[in-house]
Amino acid sequence: MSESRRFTSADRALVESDIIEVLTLGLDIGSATSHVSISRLTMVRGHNRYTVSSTEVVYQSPVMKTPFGGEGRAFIVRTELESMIDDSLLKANVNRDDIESGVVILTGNALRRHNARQIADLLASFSGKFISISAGDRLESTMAAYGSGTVQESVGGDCLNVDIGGGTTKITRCVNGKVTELTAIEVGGRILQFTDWGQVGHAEPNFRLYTANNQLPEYGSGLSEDELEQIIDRMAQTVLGAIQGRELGDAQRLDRITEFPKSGTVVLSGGVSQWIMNIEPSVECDDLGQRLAFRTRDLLQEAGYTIKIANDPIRATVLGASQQRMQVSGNTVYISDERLLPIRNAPVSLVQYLQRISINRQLPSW
Amino acid sequence: MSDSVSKALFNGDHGLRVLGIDWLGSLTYSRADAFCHGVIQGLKGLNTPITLLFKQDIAGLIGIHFIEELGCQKPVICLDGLDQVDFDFVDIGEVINQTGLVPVVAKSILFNSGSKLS
Repeated sequence: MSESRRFTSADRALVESDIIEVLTLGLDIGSATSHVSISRLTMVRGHNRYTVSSTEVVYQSPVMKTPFGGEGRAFIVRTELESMIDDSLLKANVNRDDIESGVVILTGNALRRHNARQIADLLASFSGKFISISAGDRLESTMAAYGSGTVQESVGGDCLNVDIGGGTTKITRCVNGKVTELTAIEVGGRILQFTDWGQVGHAEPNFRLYTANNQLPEYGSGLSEDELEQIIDRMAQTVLGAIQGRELGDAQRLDRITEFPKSGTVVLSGGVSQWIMNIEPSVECDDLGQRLAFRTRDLLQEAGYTIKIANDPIRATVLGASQQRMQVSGNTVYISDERLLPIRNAPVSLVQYLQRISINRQLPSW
Repeated sequence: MSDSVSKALFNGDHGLRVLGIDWLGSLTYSRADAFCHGVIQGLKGLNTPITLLFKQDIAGLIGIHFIEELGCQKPVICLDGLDQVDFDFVDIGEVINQTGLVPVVAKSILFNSGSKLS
């Protein structure tokens, strides 16, 4: 790190200008869909760090199906993602070298693919400016709560974000602008796909939780309208159960939350919720998404909850990352072994150590 | 407290994780001791160094407490004077020899929806 020599004191900032502009790229790889966004950030220097003062979305790619390939759809096709990025850069009229920072996020079932790690390193060509994250359930839930606007919406109230994705559903409670509780369950619109002829196509392992005999249906077999209806109903009931804090057995991916009060507002987001808004989908529905969306909404309404839909449900995700905040630590440090350094891209979780000897359990975490 | 640490921070699918600590109140022996015990308990069974970023200037003392008082076998990295926010990821650079300073680059993830719902 040759730049470090420029530091002379703990408070001295690395870059001298007061306002800088940064181009950032976000690549979201979900269980069902992937997309790219490119944004321009304006950052203003504060005491010893830069903070983002405004963001402008320069380009948003169309939403495409996450390219799975190989036997059992066990791999993510890397070349297709690369051409998606190149295409976005071209359309946004931006050079690869001009991208200053970025994020690649792998979520849900995409994470379970064999080459997920390799894909996460996809943007190594951006010379280490990228954070690549294999988002676990906790991070995903928290992200969805922020991205869907639920956190904002909960200022002065009590909201629950239900983000129904392709492979998992994330549920996050926000009270007065803070994330207080979260969980994730095995419900998703794309855990079963149909073939072009309407027969059973690829099924994710967690789909067996919702079939009558708890077995995965055979590829190419047919499901009757009744059977399908029952499956969708079990899935929607599972979502409701999670909201009401019930024990869900194998469908539970994280510890359950306490029951969400009827007085609060449920904010639906995620690709599946797109259907409810009657947005003309850019990808054809060859899975359970559409049915699941409507059934879940109806069931929650019947249960007495007020429902809102996030503004842009499928894109309730990341824009990119700011990376201009260099700080130095040096007042009193302790490092037992300097060979541990440097460390790259380690996620930070905030903990408050309160007056009384306890940790605030309400803090967002993942 | 140990429960909270382990539950809050280690979800199984991540390697190293950094704890950003906002230490409210005074630094007394008993509080430091309870804190360190809690962190060690919380990280039990995980093969990861104890990496703490303090907002307040107490990292040196806490770091020494882990090693000297508790005989902690894990490597310990304690840095201070840093204010992190959620969704931050950090790079921690190598120690700059002449000054003993440690550069830390914080990166935050940005979201596209700051607006209220319609």
